[in-house]
Amino acid sequence: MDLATFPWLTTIILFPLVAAAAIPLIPDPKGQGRPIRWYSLVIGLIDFALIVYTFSTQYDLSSSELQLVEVYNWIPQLGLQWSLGADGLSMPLILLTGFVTTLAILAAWPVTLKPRLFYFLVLAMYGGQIAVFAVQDMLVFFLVWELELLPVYLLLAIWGGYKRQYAATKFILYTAGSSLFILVAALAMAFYGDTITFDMRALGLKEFSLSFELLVYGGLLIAYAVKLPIVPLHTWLPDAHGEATAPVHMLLAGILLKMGGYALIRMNAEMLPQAHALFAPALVILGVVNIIYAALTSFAQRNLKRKIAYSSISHMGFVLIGIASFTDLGLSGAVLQMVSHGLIGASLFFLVGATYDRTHTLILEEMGGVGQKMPKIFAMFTACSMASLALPGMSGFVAELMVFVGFATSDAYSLAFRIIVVFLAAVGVILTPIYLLSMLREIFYGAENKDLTSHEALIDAEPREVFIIACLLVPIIGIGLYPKIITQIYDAKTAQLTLRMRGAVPSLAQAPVPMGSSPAGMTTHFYQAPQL
Amino acid sequence: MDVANLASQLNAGAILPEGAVILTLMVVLIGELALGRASAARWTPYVAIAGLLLSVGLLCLQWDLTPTLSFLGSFNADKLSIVLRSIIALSTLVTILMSIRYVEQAGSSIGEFMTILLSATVGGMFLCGAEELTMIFVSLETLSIASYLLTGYMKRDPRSNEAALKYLLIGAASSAVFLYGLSLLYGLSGGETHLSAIANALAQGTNHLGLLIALVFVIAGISFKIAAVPFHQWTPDVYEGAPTPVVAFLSVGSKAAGFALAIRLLTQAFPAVVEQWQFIFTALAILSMVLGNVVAIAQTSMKRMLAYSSIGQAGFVMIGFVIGTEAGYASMIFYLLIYLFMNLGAFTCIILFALRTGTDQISEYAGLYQKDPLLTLALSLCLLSLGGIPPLAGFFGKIYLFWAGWQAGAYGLVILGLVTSVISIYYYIRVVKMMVVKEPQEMSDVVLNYPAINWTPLGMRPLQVGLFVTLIATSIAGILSNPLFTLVNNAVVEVPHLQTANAAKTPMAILPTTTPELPAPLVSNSDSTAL
Repeated sequence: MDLATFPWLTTIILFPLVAAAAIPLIPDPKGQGRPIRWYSLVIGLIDFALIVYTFSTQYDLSSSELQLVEVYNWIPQLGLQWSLGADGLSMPLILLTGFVTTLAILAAWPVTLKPRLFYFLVLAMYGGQIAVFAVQDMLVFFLVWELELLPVYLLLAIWGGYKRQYAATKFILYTAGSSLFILVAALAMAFYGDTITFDMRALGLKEFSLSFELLVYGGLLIAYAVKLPIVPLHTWLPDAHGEATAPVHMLLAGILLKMGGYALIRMNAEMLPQAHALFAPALVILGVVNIIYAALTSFAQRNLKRKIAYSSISHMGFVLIGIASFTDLGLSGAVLQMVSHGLIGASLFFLVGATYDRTHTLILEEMGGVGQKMPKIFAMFTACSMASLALPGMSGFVAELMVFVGFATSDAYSLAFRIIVVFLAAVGVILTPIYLLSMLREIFYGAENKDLTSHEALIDAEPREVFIIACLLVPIIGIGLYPKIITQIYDAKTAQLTLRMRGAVPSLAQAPVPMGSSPAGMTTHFYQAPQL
Repeated sequence: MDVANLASQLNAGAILPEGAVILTLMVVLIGELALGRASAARWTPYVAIAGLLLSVGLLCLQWDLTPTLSFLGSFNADKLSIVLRSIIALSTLVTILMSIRYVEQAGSSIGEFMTILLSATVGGMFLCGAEELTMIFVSLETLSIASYLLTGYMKRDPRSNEAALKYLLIGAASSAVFLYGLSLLYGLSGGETHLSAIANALAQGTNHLGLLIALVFVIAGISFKIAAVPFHQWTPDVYEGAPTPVVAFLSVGSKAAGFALAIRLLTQAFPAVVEQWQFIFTALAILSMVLGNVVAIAQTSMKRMLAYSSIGQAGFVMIGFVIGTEAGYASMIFYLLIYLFMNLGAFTCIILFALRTGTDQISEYAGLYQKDPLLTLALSLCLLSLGGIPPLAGFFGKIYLFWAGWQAGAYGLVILGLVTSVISIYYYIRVVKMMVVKEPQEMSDVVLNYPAINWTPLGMRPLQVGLFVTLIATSIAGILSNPLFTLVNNAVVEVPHLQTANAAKTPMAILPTTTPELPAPLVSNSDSTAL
């Protein structure tokens, strides 16, 4: 077997899918799903190990090119190709998917309702989501994008909370409706010009007219705005996240939202640079609206899950600003924010689930004073909240700082615009600690709810839960202390992408990339002389 | 002309597949008369299945023969007709698999049922290749009259009788209109009955108005057969009242025959008014997609829901038809082929459910997952495939239709098709939700008293086979659809009149057989320096 030509990505994608198909055959004498759980965990670990092995041995970090390329003709009559590849944009997200999904399987230990179906769906999502980040054919991208509809729908509708069916239906209609734009855009771009192709690289090389680019960009923006989400198309998210059970929640927040951000960079910014140059200010404004609106809304939520859900929306605003910054540092920060939020969001949602398992309520008024009985959960919750509110030394801080500095030093916008945006986004950053800290206070300190604190179900975290949070906190703090560990794996790609994006803005095309914009230097530079 | 010469001109070998079906029909009929109803019922279904398999096999053997006109130009056994005839024969085959137990349980005679069903099949198969007006009308009526009989086959069920009467009255009226259209064609062309001769004669004529009237009448007849809105009113009542296997046949076999008729008659006899008939069919497609998919949301009976869904599905198929490109026709036939499996799969499931519980209300499916996971899986996959969820076959069918539509520049139709298919996801997934999501305490009464699963009674094994065949085809025909694509493309490429119909209209009707150009090296990993 030749290691260099082995179809690694296909194997990584198909392995969980094939393994999922074998789940009905596993004997489960007690009906509690114990063997199935272990089976899924092992599959998750093997696949994650495969991902790590592939990227550590077969992937060249210094190249901005698409690597591990595989192209097979699938349906030549349609020009449909099973073409995969990974570059700096997809690789961190594939790693994140493997990591978070495996932890989500471990987090799903208490799930005993219909275990076969549950683990089948989780494994199916595993493969499907990696495929979203690896696929290089636009029609296949649409296919794998839609593939995740049904598993998420069922995971929400069967294992969710009280209003789960409403939330699940809302999710599927929003997502299915918005993904039409992807198909329409794919068809429009493929048939543009003389050649019919769905290959993303070939589409990126096509010369589209400006009005065509604007139309396609707008359509794709709607599709990805639902996913990311961008206000005002976010309304499915608080419902879906408010009803999902903890492991599903980890997947939703950890990976699904990243699909929107990834696609926005991969398609809107990379393939339609002319339109991106015109749309960028709108993206910045939407990003600011996201940050402030969602932070304020989160502040008012009395339901714990909805509160964290809105905080996710708020954090995604930084991704938008980073994408639209036209600087290396900003874009790098956007990718880092996605990875970082994937870890932080997953950990917070897992802890919310762990708390809910004990208190059986999500309403903040009904909690209070449980910190005494659950010191470990309290400590972990505090640590993850600190990560979420961007405490220096944690990944959220680095990512947001990079976006801030990247945007502030951007030469694409006027000084006044930059000042206003940075100011408003900073207001959002201040709002985050307010609602997160007050949330912590209400759950763990505050007026003690005697019924709750005296309840025998209120036990502290078990080793499995501590392990999951530890796994998530290690990279969070690791990235926070030494961001280069993650930025170096995609630097080459974001630098090349920034050049392409800048090339489409007439005023920037000839200008040099602004000072301090080399992320490798910059990210370490912060820590030598903290300047902000 | 001496007899030998005539016999050689007839070229009767072309209808060998139909001959096999007719022979089967005779054996079934005489077998039942000779041996009595009860003893014949044990083997006649298998004879019918074997006969249909033989017929499909013969069709496969004809694939590589050069198409020749037979019966003095009345019947054209080209590849297009072979594919469509196979679709009809296969749909009958699956219908028989699912009907044995159903008819047995209803206490009727399976022999008679199959005789009528096979007659309908013969009619449908002849219709797919018919190129002459009399031939078209006779085979259409064979199909129709057999369908009326089948609809009313449950003699003691008043709803079945009501359905048959409604179907007969509306069907007879539409046949009359259709026949009137044909007679106008005959007159306008100066007494020609062959489609190509009619087209030649009409090309010189100037009587445009008369031709348009003939066109409208002919389209009315065809639309009745494919249940396109606004000629669909019979569908919900007939589907609800008729025996379920018959509904399955009507929604697939009969519709495929209707589309075959549409392709042949409209492209061949009406090249002079291509824009007009494409316009009318665009309107029909829009109305069918919108009305079929929207009204299906409100249905509480599974059969009625599938009735409206099949109207909507016919709307999608019409996209391929109206754009009039080669890819369009190919996508249409591809979709019919996929639709055959997924729709018949869904019907097999609801028959199985009805046999076990005696109901077809959607609300009664609540909680089925706990009691019968296999049935739940099969019905879910078939419905989701109809809704176009990847990676099931229906997704690929729709993608091809929309792909072809976009290629031909029918942007509005494609976008409408996409929007209505999202609507369709809503009502298909409602059933899935009913079966899978409901908690044990929310189970319906019939599911609570669900009988033990037993495949041994007479006719249950064939049902099981039908279930597995359709299920497997629905699951993998999409992912492995490359051979099917080749098949339908070949079927369309060699039919001359489809090219002439669209050559005038769309200059870009070329098959994109060339693989897209890519920035060089495509070989995996060649541009990465492995660490």
